[in-house]
Amino acid sequence: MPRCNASYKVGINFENWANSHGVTNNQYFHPFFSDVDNYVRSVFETSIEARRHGQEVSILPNDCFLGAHLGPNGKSPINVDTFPFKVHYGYHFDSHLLGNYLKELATSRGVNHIVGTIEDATLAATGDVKHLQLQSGALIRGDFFIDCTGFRSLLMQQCLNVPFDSFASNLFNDKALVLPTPRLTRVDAVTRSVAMSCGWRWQIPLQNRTGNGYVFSSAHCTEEQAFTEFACSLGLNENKCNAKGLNIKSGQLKQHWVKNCTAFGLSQSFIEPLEATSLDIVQDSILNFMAAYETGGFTNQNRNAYNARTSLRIEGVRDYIVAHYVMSKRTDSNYWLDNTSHKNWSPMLLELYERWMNKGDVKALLNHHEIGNYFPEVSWQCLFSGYDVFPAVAKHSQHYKERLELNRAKQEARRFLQTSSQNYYGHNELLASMSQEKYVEQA
Amino acid sequence: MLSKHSNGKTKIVILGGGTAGWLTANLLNSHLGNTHEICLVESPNIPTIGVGEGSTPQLKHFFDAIGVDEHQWMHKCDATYKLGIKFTGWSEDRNVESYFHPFSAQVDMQWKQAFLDHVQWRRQGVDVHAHPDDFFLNSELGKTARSPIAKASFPFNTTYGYHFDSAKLAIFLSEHALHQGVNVLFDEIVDVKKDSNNNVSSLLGKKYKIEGDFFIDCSGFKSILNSQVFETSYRSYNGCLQNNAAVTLRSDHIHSDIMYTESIAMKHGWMWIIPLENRTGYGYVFDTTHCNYKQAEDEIRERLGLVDSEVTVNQIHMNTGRYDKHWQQNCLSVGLSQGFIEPLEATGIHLILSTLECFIKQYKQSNHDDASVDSFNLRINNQFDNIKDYIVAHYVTSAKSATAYWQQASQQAVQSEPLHAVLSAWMSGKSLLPTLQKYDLLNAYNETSWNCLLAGNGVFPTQEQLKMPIDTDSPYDILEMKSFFMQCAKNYTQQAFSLTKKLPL
Repeated sequence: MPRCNASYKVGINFENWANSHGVTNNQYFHPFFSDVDNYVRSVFETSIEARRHGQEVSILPNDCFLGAHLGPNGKSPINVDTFPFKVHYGYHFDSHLLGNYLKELATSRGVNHIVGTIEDATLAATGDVKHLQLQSGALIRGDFFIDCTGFRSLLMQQCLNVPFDSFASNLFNDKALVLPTPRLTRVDAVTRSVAMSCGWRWQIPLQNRTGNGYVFSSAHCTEEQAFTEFACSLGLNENKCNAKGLNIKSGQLKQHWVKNCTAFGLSQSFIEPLEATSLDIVQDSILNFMAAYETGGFTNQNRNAYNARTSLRIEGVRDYIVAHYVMSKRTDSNYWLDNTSHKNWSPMLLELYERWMNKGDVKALLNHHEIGNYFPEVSWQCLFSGYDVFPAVAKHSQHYKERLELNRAKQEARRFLQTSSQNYYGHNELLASMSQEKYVEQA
Repeated sequence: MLSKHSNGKTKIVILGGGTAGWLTANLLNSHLGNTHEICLVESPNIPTIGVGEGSTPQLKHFFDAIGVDEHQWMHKCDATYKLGIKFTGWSEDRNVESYFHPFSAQVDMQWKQAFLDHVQWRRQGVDVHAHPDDFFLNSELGKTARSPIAKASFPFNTTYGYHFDSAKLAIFLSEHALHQGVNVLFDEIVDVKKDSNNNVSSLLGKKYKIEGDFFIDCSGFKSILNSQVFETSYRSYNGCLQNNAAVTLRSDHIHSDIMYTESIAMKHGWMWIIPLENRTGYGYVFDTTHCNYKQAEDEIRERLGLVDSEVTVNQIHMNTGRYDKHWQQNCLSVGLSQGFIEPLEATGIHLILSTLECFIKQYKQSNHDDASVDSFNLRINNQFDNIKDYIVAHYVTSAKSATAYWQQASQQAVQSEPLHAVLSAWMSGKSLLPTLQKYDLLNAYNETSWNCLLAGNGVFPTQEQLKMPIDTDSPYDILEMKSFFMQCAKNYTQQAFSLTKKLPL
């Protein structure tokens, strides 16, 4: 972690997504889950169900998940020994430094590292990739090739002509601006995701600096306009700073494993990092590919199954991201009007939304589509409640006593989580002590 | 609804001023005091029989309900915290030294399934760890001499009971009741008058005629209203619970590091050890067909190293059983007047309070019609019988062949159909839950308690019959679990008595 300037991450705070500016409580927390959450889970479930059935009950994930009480209060996800309740967590990190670190780790463990620029790849008569040709003239032969060439997708898209399935019909963002700012005084274990007029911006607090990016749709604003809004939202003078622009392309390969070649990373798929899912998909693909390749006796036997499963998974993620846009009630720009009026919903998302609004069984649907493991029911509950997407409150909302009871339970859950959060190390203190340890080791 | 008296209030008369009477007076007064006049008639000549000096968490609910804090009453009653009961020597033939039956803690949830699964796998013949003592917080607190009171930074609930001096508790409760406006009359009841509807209309004492709208019989084993006036039929438990006597004594010994009741198997019954703030109470519950009072006293004295001590030893005779009705006409029975079960699981006060809670709820809803009263009686009978079955299970699953008493206890034919079904499910390796649900047993002891008892007594295939577990047999990390409870336990104080204020973080 110190080598990558990494910090902990217990969740994402979504700001200004649900409504236009000026609406109160226009934010919610999407946490990674913890052991402690199980003790107040019933409060969340009961409130959600009551609200879905038309009762006037207010409920946010912030009420019932420990992460929402750790991250924003300067706490890390690491418990003291006498509070043995685990929190799932992720990291923020400098991806360049992480790449270097992993390179060292891999080469020190026997991975053969060749530096060179690939000029071309040659196919055999069977259509398999035969070898790569470097600018230096060297040929690199292999039995199996993995394409990690980023958006270039040199092997999959260029040599093997695998078609790309674009998500542009419901994910409009195609550009990003990135602009680091100095380290925050207090580094919280929270990613901020703030909705903007033509997209959204992230704020990722690292140990040495803060990462910022504005992901936007070039069909709805120019890079200059985006930059002005971005700089302004960061409190910067736009004449005194420069942002780096990137093109992004949402979608996935039609097949993830073709001939003797597969792809991981941008060469395989891209979904904007709204829920930080890219590395998840990479890791999941690697593990599943290895299992499929090995159990198939290192042949193509399991290729179709792997391809089908991987596509389904990426589409599942896509649907969850799309929901962030289509559930919004923002009307303050054409970007938001377009996002909330189009009907390019996947059948799965449509069915899920209809079930949610009609008090049906969401979990059964997720299980049926075998995507409940990735964004489980509780994540959808977080999203829908965070956006206040519910059936209308019944005209004569009865059950006054029940509502009082739920409110009391909610207050109690909050107190319970606040007290629990006292038992986790301070985030900055923990990061500082890790850096200290690094120097001790080096000495 | 019942008629109002001149002060506009309905009058409830409680007959008897023992533990049951004063618990009743306080609880009724706090629930009904606004609209009801509560009057308690106490005979100055009748000694209080303490129904036991240990409780279940129900007593904590009671004090919460009447708004009395621990620091107000515990010290006055020499009270200590109780995490559960340790059963020692009940299964010595199976080489089980002891097991702990804990009151439940919120964090037990984390490993509950591990416990149930391990117990079930061991029943099915896999040699996995299934002794209850490692699976519950209160057991760990008991081992490390900690109270159930956590630091403010540890926000999980623990349930617990108390040990107390029952005579002092009765005094405390009477003072509190008087302070809250309950009337007390000292008189000895010599007759009971009924009206033409077969309702009790008044109690005739030597000094007063006490009229009332509703009467509560807390007259102890005499059961004046329930047995004498209404001649309610009685169902003895003596066929399955043979113990009918006890000798009790106390010593000045202080066990401030013990926060549980210990129940030790003796030659012809069992002995309780109850640690109080300033002394320790002991009692030997036995069967007079196997030994007489003198022999029992000798055995307990010897066991406690008090052979030549001048300590006073009391003799108590016990009738185990229950009446078939607890509420009839305008009368409710509470306490020994409704029935008695030996205090092996400290259920005396528990039954009093659950009878009262059930009654108050129904009474407030004006459910006085015959069908409602019948269902009330059915429910209380069911709870008595369920507790009886759980107590009987201690004996039939014991393994202690040293005396004829224990041979009989473990070899007796199980007559109760529900208990028979539970034991059959256990032996066949099935989950107990469907059986517990089918026979409506869960209002007394839950699935975990039943598993604690049967696993605690080591009712498993023998070591030779068990097969070694393979890696895939258990997904649970027992070392992690032990560490979990050890770390949780560190949040609890090592103070046995009540504290006057909350601990700082």
